[in-house]
Amino acid sequence: MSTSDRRQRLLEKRPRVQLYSLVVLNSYILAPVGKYICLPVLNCYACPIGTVACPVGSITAFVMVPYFPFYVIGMLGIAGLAVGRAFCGWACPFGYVQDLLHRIPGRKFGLPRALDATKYVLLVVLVVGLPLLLGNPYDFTGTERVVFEAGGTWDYCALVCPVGTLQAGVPGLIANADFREKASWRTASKLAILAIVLALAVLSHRSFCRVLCPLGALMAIASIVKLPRLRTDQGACTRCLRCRRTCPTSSRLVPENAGEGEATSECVLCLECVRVCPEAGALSASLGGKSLVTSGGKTSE
Amino acid sequence: MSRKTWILVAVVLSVLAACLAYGIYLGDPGYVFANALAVCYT
Repeated sequence: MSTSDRRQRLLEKRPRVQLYSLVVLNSYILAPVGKYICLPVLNCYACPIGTVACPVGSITAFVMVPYFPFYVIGMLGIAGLAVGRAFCGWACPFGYVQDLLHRIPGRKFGLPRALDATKYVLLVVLVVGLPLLLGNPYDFTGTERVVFEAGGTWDYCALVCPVGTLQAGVPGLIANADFREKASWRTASKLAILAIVLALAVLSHRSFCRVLCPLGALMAIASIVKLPRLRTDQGACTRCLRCRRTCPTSSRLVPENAGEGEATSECVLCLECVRVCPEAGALSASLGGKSLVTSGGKTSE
Repeated sequence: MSRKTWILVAVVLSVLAACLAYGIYLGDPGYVFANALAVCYT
């Protein structure tokens, strides 16, 4: 099998890659080494089996000092430059959970594009703003403080993050009587947010990524300048719009106006559009100008 | 990609690499690790 055929087949195997990522990122044995690094994926580090440090939690902790998170920003920025938001599409465990939930059959709907801006507001207010103004780094410790206690901190991890609730909060409540005793209005509100996010994931594809994920916002900014490109050849495109219907983030790849034709910063490079596109060469993904895969079953080197 | 884009990529990469290296120099990875353990085990 040629390299290009293998690349084409990889598009079919994305769910498997996501599953491997979920397992590796939650394999306790790697945690002692992995928690020194921040990958651009949402996987709660309050869970003991979590392999890597959460970039959102780490930035919040730095900002509370206050101290500019050079290391985390450098790492995320280089990842964004090298592979854009491909981590969101191929490696993020919570993205995988949402993809699985969206497979549940039933009525589906898209969210208004205006809501995409919400995650930028959350990034500015709850990851940077309030931790900078109100934060005390000594308060930002412990699952109890971050998830349960009424007197916890005022930041994204403590107030919103459904991943922390799913991976650390719910198991903590089940297994630890002390956590149950300390449960407060924050616990109730975070459980409600988790329920809403999971329900919305069934109804609207990657709704959390589009609306509530501050890491997605950060990576969208970090990947303004990036090596990967996903483009439409307007000559080959028949505007069947299968790509738009498949796109989990409603990235406007097929142009409405002349001059458009490149995926927006919302694109998570899952390449589902390339996989479903029936027209040879209408959609193509490249890395640093080198073509990786094109639609219609053909690839070029 | 055009030559202009490659220059832009090189400049951005240099800034980010400097940012990362300065963070490592200041001991940021240790703080990331300590914070991760503090959130996890306390």
